[in-house]
Amino acid sequence: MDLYGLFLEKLAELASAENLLIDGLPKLVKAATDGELQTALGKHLKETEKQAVRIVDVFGSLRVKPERIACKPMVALVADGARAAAVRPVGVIRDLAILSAAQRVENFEIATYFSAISLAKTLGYGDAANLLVENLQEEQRAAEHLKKIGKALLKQAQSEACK
Amino acid sequence: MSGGGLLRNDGKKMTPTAASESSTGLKTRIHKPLNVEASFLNPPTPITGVENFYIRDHFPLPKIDPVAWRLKVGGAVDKPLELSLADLKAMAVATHTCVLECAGNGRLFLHNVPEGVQWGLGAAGCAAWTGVRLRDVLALAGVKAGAVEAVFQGADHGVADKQFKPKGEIHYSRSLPVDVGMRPEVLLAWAMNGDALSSAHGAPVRLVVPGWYSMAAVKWLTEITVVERPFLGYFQTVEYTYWAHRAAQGDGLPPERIPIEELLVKSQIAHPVMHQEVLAGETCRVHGAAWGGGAGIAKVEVSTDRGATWHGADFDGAPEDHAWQLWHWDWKPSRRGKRGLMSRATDAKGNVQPSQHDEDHESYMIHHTVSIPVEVV
Repeated sequence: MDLYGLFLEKLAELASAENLLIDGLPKLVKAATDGELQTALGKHLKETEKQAVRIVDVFGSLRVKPERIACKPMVALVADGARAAAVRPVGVIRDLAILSAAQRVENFEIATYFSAISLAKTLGYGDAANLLVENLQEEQRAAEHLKKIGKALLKQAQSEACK
Repeated sequence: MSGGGLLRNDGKKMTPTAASESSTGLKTRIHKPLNVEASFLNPPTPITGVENFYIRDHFPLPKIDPVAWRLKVGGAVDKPLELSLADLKAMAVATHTCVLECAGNGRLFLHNVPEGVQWGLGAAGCAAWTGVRLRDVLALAGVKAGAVEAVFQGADHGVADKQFKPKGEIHYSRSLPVDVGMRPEVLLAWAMNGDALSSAHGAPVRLVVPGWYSMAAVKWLTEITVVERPFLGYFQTVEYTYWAHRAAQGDGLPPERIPIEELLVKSQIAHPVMHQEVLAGETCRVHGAAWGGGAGIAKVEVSTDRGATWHGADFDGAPEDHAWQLWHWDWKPSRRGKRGLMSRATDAKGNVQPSQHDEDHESYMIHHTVSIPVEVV
């Protein structure tokens, strides 16, 4: 496989990852009890829907039909998130488990976008690189927001533990 | 996204990616805030029309009523002013043609993934700007003897993007040393190519600093504050800065973080576009533009073998100090296969485009020679 083939593989992986999240995120939104976490996940679900469309646009800019593959790491991460929500009772610990699952998803996506963008840049595909950067920036902002929510949830968990 | 039907010089269809890269008009790279890339030098005219001029915003587009708008001039001046657009237009009018280039233009050609828009070739344009000389406005206000800089604030505001940022919202603002502000070509412009400035390009009035990267060309200008110390705002110290090695000047100090100022000498290839197919045995006109900080372009060379050998290009038209210099070179490729086309400019002071990006410039001031991949078929 050449560089271009690897790039297409990464794109297909990202397309699958975003679609898996579109299916998986609603369960986390529903399971979250903290209002801010629920809002953040809901907002990111809407962003994820737009991101999936942008990836279709990336394939369009290359005039290539996307190959349908399953992004195995994302299959596992989404399943892990669902399990985190299902096995714990309602409360701050469950919210922290959901948050942790969401953060892992974000970090995986950020890393995958970084490699896809590097390949797009090396190959000189400006349109593709910029569409992917737009997605990357949304993922980075979402990760930053989750970090802030995490601090508040940890404080809450700490104060509940001291009661 | 462009259609797939663009034609090559010989009338045949371009490869899809080449068609995408060469499509005319503007491409939105980031929607909020608006960042729009142009198709470089397409059409290949000395003056870039507003419809083909890139847009670089940092915050949401401000809403300004041009009738109610006032420019405040204050700080270390004898007579603080509040000027309307009519007041400015009543002063001596000047027009100057110059290149505006975003300091991050060419980021696509850096191998890492730096923050920000991955501009390719299209965050640069050359326009004729009309307005009043900044020095005339400063003279009206009377700059005090101890003044060192003037700070220019735009109406655009929001929360800054980087990790190291002040709390809350800030306005876009940059400063100029007073001596630079006194240059006759520095304008408070209300017109671009003879038409009223559009909102996207900073109406009613923007600063234009010929020979400097365009972060200096503050849009939607509302305030000029003359200061007696260097201004250390966010866009002066966090964004639009780089590591400068001034040890060569003899003071022996370590690298210093300083604000970006003058344009570095640069040339870009407009045609062929990336991934374009060119025909073996037929003449392909390689053309583009070169510019710099105002020293004038002395020569442009073209390489078809990724910089191993260079050929002198011809200039189109007479040079103007801050405008870009169009150039061309006719290439008749014989060997089929993939090639990397490069161009290299030298200015009148002997500054040459380097072969590598200076890492101390980080994701700014990208002026090294880049390879444009094409295929000879």
